[in-house]
Amino acid sequence: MHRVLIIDDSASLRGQVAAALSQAGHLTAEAEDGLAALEALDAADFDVIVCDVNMPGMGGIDFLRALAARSRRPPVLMLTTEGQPTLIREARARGAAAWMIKPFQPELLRRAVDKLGQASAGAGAGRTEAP
Amino acid sequence: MSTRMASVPAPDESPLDALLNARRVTAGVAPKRSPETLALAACALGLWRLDFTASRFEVSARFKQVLGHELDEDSWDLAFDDLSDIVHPDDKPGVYEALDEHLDGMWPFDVTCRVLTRHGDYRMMRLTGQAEWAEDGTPLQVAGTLEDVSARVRMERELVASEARFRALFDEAPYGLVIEEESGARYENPALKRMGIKLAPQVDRLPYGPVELVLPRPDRGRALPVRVSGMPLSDGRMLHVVIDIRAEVEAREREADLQRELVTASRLAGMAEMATGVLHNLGNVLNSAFVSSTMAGEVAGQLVTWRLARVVEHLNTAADVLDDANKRAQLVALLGATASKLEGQRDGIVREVERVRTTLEHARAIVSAQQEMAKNRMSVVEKVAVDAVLAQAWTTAAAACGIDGVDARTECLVDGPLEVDRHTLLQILVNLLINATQAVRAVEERRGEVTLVATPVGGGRCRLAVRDNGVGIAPEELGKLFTHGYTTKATGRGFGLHHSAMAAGELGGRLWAESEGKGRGATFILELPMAVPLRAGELTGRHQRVTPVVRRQAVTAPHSPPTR
Repeated sequence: MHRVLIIDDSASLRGQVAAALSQAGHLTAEAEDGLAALEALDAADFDVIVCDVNMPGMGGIDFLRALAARSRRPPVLMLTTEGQPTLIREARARGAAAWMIKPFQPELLRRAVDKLGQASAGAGAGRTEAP
Repeated sequence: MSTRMASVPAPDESPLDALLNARRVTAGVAPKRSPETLALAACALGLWRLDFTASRFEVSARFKQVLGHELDEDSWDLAFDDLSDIVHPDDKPGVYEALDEHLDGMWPFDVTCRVLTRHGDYRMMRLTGQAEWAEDGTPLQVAGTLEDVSARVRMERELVASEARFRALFDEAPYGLVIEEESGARYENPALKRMGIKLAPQVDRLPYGPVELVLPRPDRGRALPVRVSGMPLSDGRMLHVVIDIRAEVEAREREADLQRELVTASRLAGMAEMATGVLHNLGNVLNSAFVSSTMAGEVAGQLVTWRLARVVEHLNTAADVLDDANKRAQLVALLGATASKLEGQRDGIVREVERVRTTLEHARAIVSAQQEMAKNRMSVVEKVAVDAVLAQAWTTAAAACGIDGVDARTECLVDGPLEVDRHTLLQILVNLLINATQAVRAVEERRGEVTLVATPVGGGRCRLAVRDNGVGIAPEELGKLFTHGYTTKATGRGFGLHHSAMAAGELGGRLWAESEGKGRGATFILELPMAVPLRAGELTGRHQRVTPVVRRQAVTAPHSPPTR
């Protein structure tokens, strides 16, 4: 069981992701953009973050930049319709741990979250090193 | 098969409808090739597939074509060697790691690696792929594309290298560099920051230049003179080079000072040269006065006053001489002759004294003219009558070198007054007249003629020319005449014409020489503006200035005299 923060401006998508992860026993919390997510990170610890790229307010890439400045950096799985190689490379360079294209396959999402959650726990108390 | 060939839209028809209607196929034929095949042919992408259900790797014909094989592009399901055989050994781990990550659902599969072609060389290829998973997340297959990106990668690497070089140049350049975006945003290099100037507040938009600007340095106090040159970069940005030109400005100021000193030195040297001539002429005049006074003295010494003394003595010793009519007649005759002789001698003395007076007057005029020329004064612009200046030039030149035996002529065709520094103009004209007089005296076979002529020319300018029928100038000498130190005279020092040319520049004019050649005379032409352009703040008006306006004029190099 991992604590997962879901960041997406679409409430229905957040719901679908939360449902898929809840089935696997994960605990989820939701934020509608990067700024709200940073506030959530101030309030609680998370093991994995699932984050959209294009959002009003603070988008996914800017969120990665803001996260890099923090001491606690849970692994981030980017979940997006975007497939531009340059955007994917930038996200990877800024510390993204995975990039999954919407529409997602629930089992693949659960596997990825499991994998990232385990890696996060192995790294110690939700702490990951920036690449 | 087509009903219409033209695809010009009808008024109520969209371009697409027009195209479809124009090219409608009416016969019973149907496309055979799949749209995907056609689309992939258009973008030169090869296809590949990894089938985990059949443990098979297969590629399209286009895939093989990309690698250099000649095949029918519509064929598919071609068995192909293991991918391992064609990916460069160093790139293989990365490719498989990326593939594994994708099959785990973590990352899209999109790698660029070196792939072996049929010709035996490696080319940069982009491999992309998309997996299909079973509901439980088991990958069933992955299919993707192959694209030859060698040219693009090479260009990207060249671009990166170019950017790196540009960055190094930008960072390490000893002069300031500014990159200006079309939006107006600027990036300044470290050298510019070291200069201490801040461009943004002072300059709204940097000029293409090159222009020289003096930019304030808020943190340093003293402003910095810089030269800014802009050049457009290929991507629409502008690169401005900002060079600190303090040393250059100081050098220019030093050069200007030297030039001023040179002009002064030349003027003084010219005056000294002229003074020598004046002294020589003065010596002649004084000789003449000496001769006259000597002659007057000699005549005075020969006065026949002794005759009167003898008459008186005779009358004292022989008082009866007046009683003798014969002797009285002789005495009267003697006295008459003596009176006549004395009158003649008196006239001679008066004549010589008058000659001395005239000569001394001449000497005084010479000294006065020289004093006038030798005044160490600032430039004073005044309105002068041209004919008066010409006459004064002749008077001074005559004082300096004498014009005996020379036909000295003046022609003035300029009506209006000339606004000029009279003394500088006189220096030039006198120098030219002395040169011309000497040039005609060097020719013995004909009488010398020197003409000083003033003529108007267009554009508010006039020409003052000194024309002579003297020794002339060889063509190869024409270009050197105004060079400092160049002279054709045995005793000359080459200051006169150089100074005259410099002075002409000071007056806003130019000086040049023309000659048909050796022995054929010469003409020196001084072209001047009739009025010196006023500077801001100076008095203007229709009346002549009561108080001359004093100008300190920057010394500029005169125009090069034209050569023939």
